[in-house]
Amino acid sequence: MRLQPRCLQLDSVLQTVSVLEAVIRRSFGPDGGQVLFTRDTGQTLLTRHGTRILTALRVEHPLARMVVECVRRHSSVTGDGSKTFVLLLASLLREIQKHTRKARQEGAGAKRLAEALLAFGLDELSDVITVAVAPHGSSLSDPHTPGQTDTHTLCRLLSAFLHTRISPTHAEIISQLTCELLSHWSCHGDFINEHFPALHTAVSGFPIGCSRLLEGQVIHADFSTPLPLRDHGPIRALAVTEPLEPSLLIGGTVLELGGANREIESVCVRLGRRLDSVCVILQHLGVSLLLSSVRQSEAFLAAVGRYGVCVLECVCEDDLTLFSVLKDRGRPHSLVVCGLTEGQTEQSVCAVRDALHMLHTTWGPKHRTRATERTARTDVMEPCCVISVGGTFEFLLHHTLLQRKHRHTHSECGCVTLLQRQDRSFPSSPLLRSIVEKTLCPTQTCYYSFTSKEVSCCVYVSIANGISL
Amino acid sequence: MSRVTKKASSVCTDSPLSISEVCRKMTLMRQILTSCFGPNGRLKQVHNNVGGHVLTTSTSTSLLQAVSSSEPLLKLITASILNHLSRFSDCGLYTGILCFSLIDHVQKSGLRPSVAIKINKQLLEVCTSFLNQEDCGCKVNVDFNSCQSLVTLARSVISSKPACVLTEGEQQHISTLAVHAFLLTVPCGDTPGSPDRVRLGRTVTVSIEGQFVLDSAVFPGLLVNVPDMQLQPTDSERTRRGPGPFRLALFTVSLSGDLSEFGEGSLEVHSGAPDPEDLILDELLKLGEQAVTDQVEVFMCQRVIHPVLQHYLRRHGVLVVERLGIALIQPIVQMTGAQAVALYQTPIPPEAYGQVKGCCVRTVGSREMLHLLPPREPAPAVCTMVLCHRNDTMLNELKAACQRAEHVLRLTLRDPVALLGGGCTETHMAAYISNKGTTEATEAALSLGVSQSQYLLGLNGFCSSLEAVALALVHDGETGLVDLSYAHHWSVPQGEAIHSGTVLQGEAIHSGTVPQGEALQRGDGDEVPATCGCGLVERSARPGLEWTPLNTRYPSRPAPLVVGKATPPQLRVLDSFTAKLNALQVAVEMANLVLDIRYVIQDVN
Repeated sequence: MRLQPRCLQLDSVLQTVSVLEAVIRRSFGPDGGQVLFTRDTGQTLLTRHGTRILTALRVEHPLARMVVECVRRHSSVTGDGSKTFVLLLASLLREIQKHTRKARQEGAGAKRLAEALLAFGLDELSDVITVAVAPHGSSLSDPHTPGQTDTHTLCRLLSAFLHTRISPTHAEIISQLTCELLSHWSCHGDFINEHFPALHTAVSGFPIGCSRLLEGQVIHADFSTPLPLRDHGPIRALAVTEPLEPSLLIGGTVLELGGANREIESVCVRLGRRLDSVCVILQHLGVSLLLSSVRQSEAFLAAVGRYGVCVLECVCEDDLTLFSVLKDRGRPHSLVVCGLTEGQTEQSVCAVRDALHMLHTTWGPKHRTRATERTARTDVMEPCCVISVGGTFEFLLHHTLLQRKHRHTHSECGCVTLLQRQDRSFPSSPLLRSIVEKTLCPTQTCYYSFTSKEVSCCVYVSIANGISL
Repeated sequence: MSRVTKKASSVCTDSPLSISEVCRKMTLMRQILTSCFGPNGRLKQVHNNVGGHVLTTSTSTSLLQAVSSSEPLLKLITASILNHLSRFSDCGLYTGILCFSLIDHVQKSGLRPSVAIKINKQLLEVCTSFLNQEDCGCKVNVDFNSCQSLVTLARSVISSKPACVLTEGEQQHISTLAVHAFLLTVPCGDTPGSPDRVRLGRTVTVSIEGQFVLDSAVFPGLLVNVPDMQLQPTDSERTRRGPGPFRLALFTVSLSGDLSEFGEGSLEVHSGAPDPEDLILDELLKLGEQAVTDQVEVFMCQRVIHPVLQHYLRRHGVLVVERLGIALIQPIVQMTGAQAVALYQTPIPPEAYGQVKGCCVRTVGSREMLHLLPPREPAPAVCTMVLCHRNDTMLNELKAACQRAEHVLRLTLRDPVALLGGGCTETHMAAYISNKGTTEATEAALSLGVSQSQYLLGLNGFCSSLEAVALALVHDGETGLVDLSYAHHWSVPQGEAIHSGTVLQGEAIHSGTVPQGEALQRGDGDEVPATCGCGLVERSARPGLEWTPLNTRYPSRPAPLVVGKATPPQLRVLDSFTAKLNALQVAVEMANLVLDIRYVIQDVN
C-alpha cells in the first residue's frame, strides 16, 4: 500500500465539518426532526442524539472521523451538548476562514488565530463565563434547604433536555415520569443512574401515553413455575445464582458403577433425596419465590412447584443486583416506557438514560479549567448551575464579549480582538440568529444544563486548534 | 481468527418523504392495505420469485409478515402495526390505512410537518375523549346477559377475513362457536383463594382439513391426538367404563429408560455389575406398580414411555398416552389439577394426581382422538375447538380468525363496550370533530400556536383521513355515502354513478333547513340501502334523511345526532372498542413520527 500525503486546506476542513453540521442542524433544537436509522441487522432505530447520528453515518473521511470521535468523548463526559459542539465548531472554522482569507499564507494565519483562540479559551473564557453568564443562571439546589434539589427547576431542566432528544409530544410525558421517578427515590439521581437498566421496562405496541410509573421492581423474566393464586401478603424471595440441582455428570467426569452402594439406583435415590432436602430447606426458610439467574433443571422445577414455590429463571444480573440492594431502601418505583416500535421505546429509554447522566454531571464536581485553578476566585460557580434554554448562554456570552471589546479598543492582545470579531459575527450566521430570536420569545422558560455548555465551549477551541495544525 | 473488514459509509437520505420513489412505495402499500379491508376485501397471493409456499390472505398479520420492504419508513410503519396486532389482534389494516392517509393528506395540504404534528395530536386527544364519553354516539354497551352482541362482535372479526371463504351461514356457525368457546373459558364465580383475580381458561384448537365448515364444533375438555396403535382394545373398554372421576398421572420426564439425562460425562460399568439400563427399567416398573396400586386410570407422558412399562400398565387396565408434546401439558395441568412429575426415581407424591371426569374416543374427521372431560363443571375451564375447512390455506386463515375473535372477546371483559362497525364510527367521529374543530378553531389555533387557516387545513385532512377508512370498506365500484343527520356510513351498490356534491334525498318531504350549497344537485335516494353500515339507522324508520358522497366538503356541518338507543335495532357490525382506540392512537402517533423524520441513515454493511 502506498501512502499518499495530502495537503489539508482549511477550505476542505470546513467543507467536511459543514457536512456534519448540515446533518446535525436538521435535528437540533426543540423543533428538530427525527433521524431514522436502519442497522445492518435490519433493525430500525429512531434517534435525535447527536453522537448517535454521527456514529451511525460511519464517515470515512479521517478528519470527520476525528471530529466524530471528539464529539463522542465530549458527550460521554457531559452527557449532553454533542450537537452544539458540531455547530460551534463549524461556525468557528467559518470565522477563522473569513478572517484569514485575505492573508497570503493562509495556513499560517489560521494556525496563529487558532492558537490564540485556544489560549483565550484556556485562560480567560472560564472567567468570562463565571462573571458574565453564571449570575444569570439559577441553582438546582433548593434555595431554602441547601442540599435538597429544587424539584421545579429539575423538572424544567429535564423537560428541556428531553425536548432535544425525543419528539415534543413524547418529551412531556417522559420528562414528567422521570421527575416523578426521581422524586419517588428521594435521592440524587446517582442511584437511579446506576441501576437504570433494572429500573425501566420497554413495552412496544402501545401508544407512548400508556407509559407510567409502577410501584415496585419489575423483574424481566417470565415465570417458569407460575405463582399460585393466593391472598396478598408479604412474600419471601430468594435469589440464587447457580443450579440447585447440579448435573450428575459434568462434562469429562466418569461415574463408576458396581460394588456396594454404587449401583445406578442408589445414585438416583441420592439424587432424589438431594432435591427433596433442597425443597425442605426452602420451605423451612419460608421462601415462596425463587429468582434464579441460571436455568434450573426440570426435575427441580417440578419438585419446588409441589411445595408451592414459584420460580423465575434467567433473571438478568442487573435485576438481581437491584433486588439485593433494595431490601434496605424504601418502596421502589420503576419506569414503564411504551412506544409503537422497539426503535421508539429504545429512543425514549436512551434519552432518559442520557438525562440521568447529564444530571449526574450537573450535580457532580465542577469541571475545573486551568483558569479557575490559577486564579483562586472567590465567586466560583456553584456546581449545580443551570441556565435558561434557547440561546441564553450564547446570547449572554456574546454580549459580554462585545462589552469587553469596547473596553480594550486599543488592546494589543490579538486573541481578544480575534474573539470579538469572531463573536460579533455570531448572530449573522443563520443558526445563531435563530437562537437569538428564540431567546427573545417570552414563552421559552425551560432550563438547560450549564456545565455541559461551558465544557463544550472549552473543547471546541482546542479542536479548532488541532485541525488547523 | 476473526477478520476485520472495513465498514462502508452509511447511505444518508435527506427528507425521505419528498422523494418520489418513497412516496410511490408508500402509495402502493396503502393501496394494498385498502384493497384488503373489510368483508369484501380482495385477497392477496404472496409468493417469491423462486417458487415455494404461496400465501393467500387478506389479514394484516399474515400479509405484513410476508411482505417485507427495503424502505426504512415502510419497515417502521409495518413494525408498529405488527406490534399493535400482537397486543390487540384486531384493527391492523385500519391502523395502516389511517396512518398512510394522514401522511398523504399532510403532504397534499402543504402544511409544515411540525404544525401538522401539533394539530394531529390535538385532534387525537379530541377523538379519544369523545370515544371515552359516556354518551358517545358510536359506542354500545356489551350486554353479557345475552350472547347477541358477543356473536355480532365475533362475526365482525370473522366476516372481515374473506380469505376464510365462508358463506353467511358458516360465518354465523363459526361466530357462535367462537363465543361458545369464549364463554367456556370464563370461570364462573370467584376463584378460590383470591376473589379479586380471575384466571381465564384456554381454548385448544384442533384443525381438520377436508371436512365441511359446519362440522366444526366446540367440546369442553381436551381432545388428545392418539395414534391408532396406542388405542388398544383394553383402552376402548376403559373409555366405555362408567362415569369417573378417574385419577390421572402426568409425567414430563422421559420414561423411555435410557441414560441420556445423566449429563455429559461417561459411565463406567464394572464387569459383573448389573446393567444400569435394567436397573432403570426396574425403577420404571416400580413406578408403574405404584400407579396401579394408587388406582391411576389415565397415565400420560409428554415424552416416550418404555414399551415394557406401557405393556405392564395396559395389562392392569390403565389408559396409557405417550408423546403428548409440550403444548398440551399446561392445558392438562390446568384442567385436571395434576402436577407434572419430572422425576421417576422417587415415588409419585399423592398430591400430584389429577382428575378427569371421563374419557371417550371421538372420531373427528379422519382422526380418532381421545376426549378428556373436565372433572368438575364450573371450574378452570379448558375447551377444544375443532375447526374444519376444505383446504389448508382456508383452514389456516380460519384458525387465525378464530384466535383473533377470541382475543377480541376477551378484551370486552375489561372494557364491556363495542364500537359501531361498518365505517359508521369513522364517519360519525369525523363529523363530530369537523363540527367541534370548526366552532372552536380560534381557541384551538391560539393554544397550539398555529394560524387558524392552518388549523382548519389540518382538521380537514384529519377528517378526510377518518372518512378514507370508511371509504376503504367500499369496493367494486360501490359508492360510500354519509347521511347528514346521524353521519353514519351507507354504501350504495354498483351502478348508480353519484357525483361529488350531490345530496340524495329520502322519500319524505325535505324540510329545507339542511345546508344547501348552490353547486349541490339533488338526486333521488332510492338506491340507498335499507340500513346504514352498522345497522343502527334504518331508512324506513327515519324519514327525511339526506345523503352525500363521502369526502365531500361542506362549509360547515352540524354536529351529528346521536341515535336514541331506547329500542336498538339489530346491529350488524360491531368492532372492538379497546383495539380500535389503540389503533387510532397508534396510527396518529405513527403518522406524526413519519412526518417528523428528517433523515434516513441506512447502514449498508
